[in-house]
Amino acid sequence: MSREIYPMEEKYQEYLTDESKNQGSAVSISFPESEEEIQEIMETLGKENIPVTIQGSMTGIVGGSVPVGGHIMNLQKMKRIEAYTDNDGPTVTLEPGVSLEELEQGINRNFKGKGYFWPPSPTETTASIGGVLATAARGINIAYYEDTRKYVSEIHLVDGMGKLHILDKSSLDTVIGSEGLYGVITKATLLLEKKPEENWGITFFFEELAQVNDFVNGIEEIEDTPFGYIVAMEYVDRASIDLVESKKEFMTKIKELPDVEPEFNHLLYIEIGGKEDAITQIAEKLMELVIQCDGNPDKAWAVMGEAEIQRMRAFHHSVAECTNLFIEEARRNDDRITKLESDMALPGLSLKECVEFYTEAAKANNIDITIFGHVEGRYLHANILPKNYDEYERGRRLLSFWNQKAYKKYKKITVEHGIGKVKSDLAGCIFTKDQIAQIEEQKRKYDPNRLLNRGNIFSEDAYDKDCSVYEAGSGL
Amino acid sequence: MREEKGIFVFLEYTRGKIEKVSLELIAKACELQKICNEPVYGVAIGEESKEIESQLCSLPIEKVWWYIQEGACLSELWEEAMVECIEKISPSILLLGGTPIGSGFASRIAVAMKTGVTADCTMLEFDENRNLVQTRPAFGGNIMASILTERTRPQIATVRPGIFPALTDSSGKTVVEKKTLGQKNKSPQLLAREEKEEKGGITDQEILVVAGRGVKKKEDLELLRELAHLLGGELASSRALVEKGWMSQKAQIGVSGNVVKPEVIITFGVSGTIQFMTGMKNAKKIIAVNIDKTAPILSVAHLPIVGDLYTIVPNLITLLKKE
Amino acid sequence: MIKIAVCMKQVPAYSEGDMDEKTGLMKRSGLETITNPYDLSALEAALRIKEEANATVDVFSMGPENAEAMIKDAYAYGVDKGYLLTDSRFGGADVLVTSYTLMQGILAVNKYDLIICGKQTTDGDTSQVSPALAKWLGLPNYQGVIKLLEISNDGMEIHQDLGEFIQVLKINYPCLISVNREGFVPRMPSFKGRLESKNKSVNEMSIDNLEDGDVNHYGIKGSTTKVKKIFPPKRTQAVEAQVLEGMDGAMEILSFLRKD
Repeated sequence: MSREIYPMEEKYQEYLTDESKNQGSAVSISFPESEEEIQEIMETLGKENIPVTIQGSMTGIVGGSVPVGGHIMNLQKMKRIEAYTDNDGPTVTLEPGVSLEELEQGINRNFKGKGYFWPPSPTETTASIGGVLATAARGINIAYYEDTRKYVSEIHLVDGMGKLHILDKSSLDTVIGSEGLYGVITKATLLLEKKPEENWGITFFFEELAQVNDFVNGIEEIEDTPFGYIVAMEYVDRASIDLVESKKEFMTKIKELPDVEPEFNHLLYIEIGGKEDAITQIAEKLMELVIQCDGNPDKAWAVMGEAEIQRMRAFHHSVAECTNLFIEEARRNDDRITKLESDMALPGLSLKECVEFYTEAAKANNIDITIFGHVEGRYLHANILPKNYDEYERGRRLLSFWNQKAYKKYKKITVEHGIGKVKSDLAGCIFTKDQIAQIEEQKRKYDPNRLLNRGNIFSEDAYDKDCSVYEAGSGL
Repeated sequence: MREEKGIFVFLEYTRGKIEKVSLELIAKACELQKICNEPVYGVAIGEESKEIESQLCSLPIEKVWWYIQEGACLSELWEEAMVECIEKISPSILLLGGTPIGSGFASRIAVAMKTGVTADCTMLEFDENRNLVQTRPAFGGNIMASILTERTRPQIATVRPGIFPALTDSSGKTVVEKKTLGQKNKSPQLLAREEKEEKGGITDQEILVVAGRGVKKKEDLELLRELAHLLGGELASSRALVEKGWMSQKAQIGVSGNVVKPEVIITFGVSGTIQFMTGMKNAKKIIAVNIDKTAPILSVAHLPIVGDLYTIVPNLITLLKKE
Repeated sequence: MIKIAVCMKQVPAYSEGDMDEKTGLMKRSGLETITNPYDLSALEAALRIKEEANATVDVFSMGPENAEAMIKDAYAYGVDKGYLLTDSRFGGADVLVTSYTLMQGILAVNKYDLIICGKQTTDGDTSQVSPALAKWLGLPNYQGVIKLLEISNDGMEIHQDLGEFIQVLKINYPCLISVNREGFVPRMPSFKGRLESKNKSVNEMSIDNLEDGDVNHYGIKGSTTKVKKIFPPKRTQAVEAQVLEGMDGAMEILSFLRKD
């Protein structure tokens, strides 16, 4: 039983920050263990007008769970998996504190041998389901599985006044990705899919950007069939590879992966799912393609089977993790430094254009960056690697410049990693006026006193943000 | 009635000192003897030395055969020596340490004698028929299996160091018979014997003491490091202290650092984030000390203690120094 | 030309076993399988020898029929021929019999110069099969190998980690070596290798292919050890935390450490 609201003490210090490394503050904290408790706590706090920040595993990188004063509601104790069903397709009903890892283990145990899984696969497997839903997080396999919303059929939401709403498919879509602005997700029913019969993970290496660019163009002409389809396509640049290799030794899960040969500057990872014959056919096409593009077919790695695919995914996850570790180290010298990541889709550009979109300005201004991300949809992330505060400041301007450039081209910005507090100044560039109006409406319905997750998506109450700063446009 | 009589123990030594595991097995053999009444014999193989001779002489057993063997340590030769002794006495049991050397020839003996071998036993006892019940973990420790070698002899078992208690009786007196082995003509050439490099990594440690956020000052880590060394282990850290720059990333336990599987892990002031616990949850014995009764790590520890590390650690150091 | 045989085993991906309470044998179905990671190091050692000197690498495995997938996977690394010893009569084999079966299989195919094994498996956890196999074959075995040098058609230099020290030997073929993971980090399977080997088949062998066709020498019938019983380990449920200070806490910790 945990009907306790604890005053903040030093021992809760770790709950004041998430992976973005932004530091917050709070007056009290709770670790509720049931839906009823959450309702009680929200009612109590609501009466006293105390703002609440909702936390899962705090693995977010945009400050979504960083508290801005008031109360922290941490859901790590909500770990029950309540039901597994398989009547009209497999589902799992669970509490929001269950991690992706725990979900996977539960599915394997309860649906033994059936090969089910929950498609949204963010690589940070300690992330909580609640957090994944709140941020509509996705992972490496978006090339095939797409949107997280497709895989949820019901959500329990406790709003800012402590009232419970049970939302089905007709109304839960707006809650997913709303970053806790409307309420606490206290329960969710997830829809599972069957894993592909076979899974290959192939890693290609290229010396020149033009080569990997042509390769990607060729791949995008290959048609998916239900028997053989591309599940994932990830790009990793040399700077990212170097960063991982510098930290590999102390990271058990990737310690045994071989180093990438020094002449290669670009890595492209492709996962193909389906039946063996169809996969082999696609693989053969890729073999021809890579030769045509002057890539090196002899050096490519090809793994198959779940365990080995997980190892490759662990590598790709560590690419992101190592940039976080870099920031951590930089912070030891100056704790004003935080993670600076560009998180935008650049659809319509070739892979080469995407990479150069980032590298041009970075090189011109002597700023170290890494680039990696999903080739499908062109969600590449450029991370700034500031070694000191001066570089950090210049990095912030560079980030702003990139955002501005993208806004100018697309008239909006589409993000993958959530907005949180880190990108809240971009809200006006990400949403249209209509969308903002809709969000406003939902907010009035679920959280009229504006107590929940303040600072997420919209800084304070500035719902009338626009992108005028980018309209005007200023150089670096 | 059975004709086999005797419990054999392989006495391993390499550097002027009989290996601790062999002495633990002597103690175990003496314990088994009390039930089955069979004499305990030792078989030692290696270089001649006065120190070894005196250690062998003081074992509380029936007899020791000591094969003087200069040069390389070779499984084939070790097997030959042991089989020669087995054929003389027909022991019912043979115990060896589960060390690289012991494991390297235990099953060769099994094949030579057409009998069974059970490796890495954690329990050895007799059943109602005086068969040796050999119990060992399987499937990564998720299951314990009790195994019998019913019809063949000797019953061969290997045991890892530290499983059984040490020999406390150092006042024995036994007969030591020196022997030599016939040289094989195609013996490989021993080129060198080298010291092992100091490993130092926390993943190789069997005992870890972990410092967490509850440690208030960087200087206080020295206390925990002293404790770690007294226990024969090393100091490691949760992410919090690595972030503060007080410990290096090499020492970090967690999902983005090192995953460790020591025999013993004792955490002080670690709250136990999911990421941390993923990095150590398979440790054999988990002891956690935290002043906060709601710290998540207390629910996975085998011995959870709500207490102040600053009062407990100095006392623990005092107790260990007394031992 | 050095003829190498590598012994490999397919094991469950997670160490969660489902044991048949009556027979004490593992129910292997329904669990995802992988190649025993220690055997990948053995394969790596073999492939390095193949690259440095002139050698062929064959793989032998004893297991259920679907262990074929593991051998096919091994082809992608550069293995020449793969042999799967599969027969329901092989089931339930202990160390003595498993090593005997592998010996029979190996002898039925070829006279190898070098047999390479991994240190242990993640399911049975024993490291006992390789010395026994060597003895059946009448060969010396060298365990704990962490380095291979000076590879020639007659032999090579090996470094063995024997616990307290490193032993450096010049050994001759034929022999068996068992390698540790350190020093032999497995390479990634090659894309080209995987495509080229997709039509390669695995040679299956049953008791009928072996010189000794007596079924009583194999499987559970031939084994000298039997599982008497299985039980879960003393697993702790969430233990109630004790509130202790100072010397009380210290004594509690010490006594917990000292008990078995």
